Amino acid sequence: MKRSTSWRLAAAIAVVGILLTAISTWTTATINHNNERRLLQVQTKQVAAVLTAAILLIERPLATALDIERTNGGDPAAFVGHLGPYIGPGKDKLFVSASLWKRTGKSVRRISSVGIAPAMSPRSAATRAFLVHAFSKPTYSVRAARSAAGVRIVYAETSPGSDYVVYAERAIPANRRSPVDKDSAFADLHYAIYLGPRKDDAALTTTDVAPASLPLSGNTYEVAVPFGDTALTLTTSPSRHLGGSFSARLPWIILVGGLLLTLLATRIAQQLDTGRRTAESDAATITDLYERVDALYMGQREISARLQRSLLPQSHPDIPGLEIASDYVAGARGVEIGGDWYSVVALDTDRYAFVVGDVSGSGVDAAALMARVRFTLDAYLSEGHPPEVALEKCSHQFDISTDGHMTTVLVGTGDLARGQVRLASAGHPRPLLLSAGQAQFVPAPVGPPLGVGVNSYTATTTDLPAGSVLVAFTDGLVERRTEDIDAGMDRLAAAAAAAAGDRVDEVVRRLITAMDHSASEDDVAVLALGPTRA
Amino acid sequence: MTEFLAGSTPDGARAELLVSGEVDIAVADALHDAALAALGPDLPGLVVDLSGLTFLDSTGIGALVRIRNDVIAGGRTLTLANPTARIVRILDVTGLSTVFDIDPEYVSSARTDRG
Repeated sequence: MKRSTSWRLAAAIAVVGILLTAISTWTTATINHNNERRLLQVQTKQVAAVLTAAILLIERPLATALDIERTNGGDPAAFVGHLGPYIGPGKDKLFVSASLWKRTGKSVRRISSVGIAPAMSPRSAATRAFLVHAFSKPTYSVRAARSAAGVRIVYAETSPGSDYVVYAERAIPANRRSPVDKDSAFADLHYAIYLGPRKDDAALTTTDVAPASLPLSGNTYEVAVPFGDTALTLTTSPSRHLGGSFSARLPWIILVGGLLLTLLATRIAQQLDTGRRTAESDAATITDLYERVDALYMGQREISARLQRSLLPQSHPDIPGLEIASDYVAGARGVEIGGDWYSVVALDTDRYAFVVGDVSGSGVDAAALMARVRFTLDAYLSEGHPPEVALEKCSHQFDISTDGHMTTVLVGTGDLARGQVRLASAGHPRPLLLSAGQAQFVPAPVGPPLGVGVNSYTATTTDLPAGSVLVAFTDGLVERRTEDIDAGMDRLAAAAAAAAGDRVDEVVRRLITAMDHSASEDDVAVLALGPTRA
Repeated sequence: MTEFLAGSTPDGARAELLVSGEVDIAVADALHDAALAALGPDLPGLVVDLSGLTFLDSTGIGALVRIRNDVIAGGRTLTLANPTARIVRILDVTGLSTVFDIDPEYVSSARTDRG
């Protein structure tokens, strides 16, 4: 569908381009053709003017000779004396033969002659008929006559009221060829001149082309030039482009240029369309990739969440006399699994241990390290070691340089019979003690985190009477990028004071709500425990 | 934006690294690498000037610990210079202020150079 649209567009552009090219070419060719015709007309008329002048020049001596005879009353000597210089075989001579005739009644008689024998015999009836005919014309008469040497133009010059007629024959070249000078104003023309209106070989007098190739073809123009009692028919055609070579090539230039432009436009249209379709396809691919990445991301997120849940205790041990509540809130970090945890271990009927810890950083290896620390600590605590000893033993087994992470952890052991807890910290925030409407951080000594390489910890013991609640948490609850850690601690203490006296699960809920964790990247683990109220 | 500017003390005895901006999980490894690169193979000690450090998360702390452990393992010394009160507090609550050698009044040549 898209492909056919593309082809239709390209075809439409090609059709329009070819149409425009054709119109332009045709218009230019027409203008060029009309221009050629006009130039041919102008030049031909100029040739006709030259021809008219030449006719006058040739005929003038005959008219003059006639005037002389009218004045002198038929003097043969005067006739020869006047026309003699114009008669001869040379190219500079106007005529080859001339004679003077006098009319008496209805017959004519030759009085004098000069030059070679005429093609029309002086004794033939045709000659005499021609001469008699000449008297009936207001101007001189012209005929063509064949002789052995070639065609001759025959003149019969007389005038109204005169009884004399001057007869003359003018030779034209046997092959009737007379090329145009290259330097002539008419060098761009082919021509053919016929005596009379008929354009056949018999009437042909002069041409610059081979007589066999006549008549002229193609773009021709024809002018009748008055010649005595008849006319010369001048036909011309251009021998080359009269308007110059550029105007001759212009239609071709427009045609080729137009077709090339059409080709180019069609090609560009196709490429643009291909580009558009590629872009659409790319966009679809990118959208598809995004959707797949999104799906993978969601899948990864779910795996992380399940792993996290599986690493945390599903439930706390049932310890009579001890209330326990906890919560875990994942940070706004995406797929990375956090390293926070809590754990409660029952030791015997009255004693228990608990841990809240935080592996720095996140990811699967942080979670794996968390699991190792958690189970290691739980094991030491289950064996009955006090918190500081459990931490010390544990600290030998972790090294930030090999693990890549360090771990902060708060370890406590509690004795319900004595109402006390013993606390040791490896770089972990101190817990809060909520009792009697107030909340205070337990001033437990803080040793370095696990993995640092320092292996000595100390512990402190604090009272945890019935009705009081100890809250241990990870730093995600209080740490904010934009404020000092003490500011977070103070807010937490205030929220805890407000919750003092509530049940453990209510305390956890209120603290998490109050500390609004939604913008933080870090995970939060909170563990609250306290002896059951009496 | 986080910047690490490496140099050496005026007497040339120790390497210096001036840390500014925030150090979190995104640049923790880079800090570790920059510190060891600043120290090089020959100098006996490294001073990490924290006066421009505005935020340090647990992975950043971990990076400082790794730098310390690596430097000390080679028999050399690490000094954290001029930590702000906020950083001092973070080192306190994580039990690390006694682990690190801290010089609160160190005059950094890098800072002097920068005017």
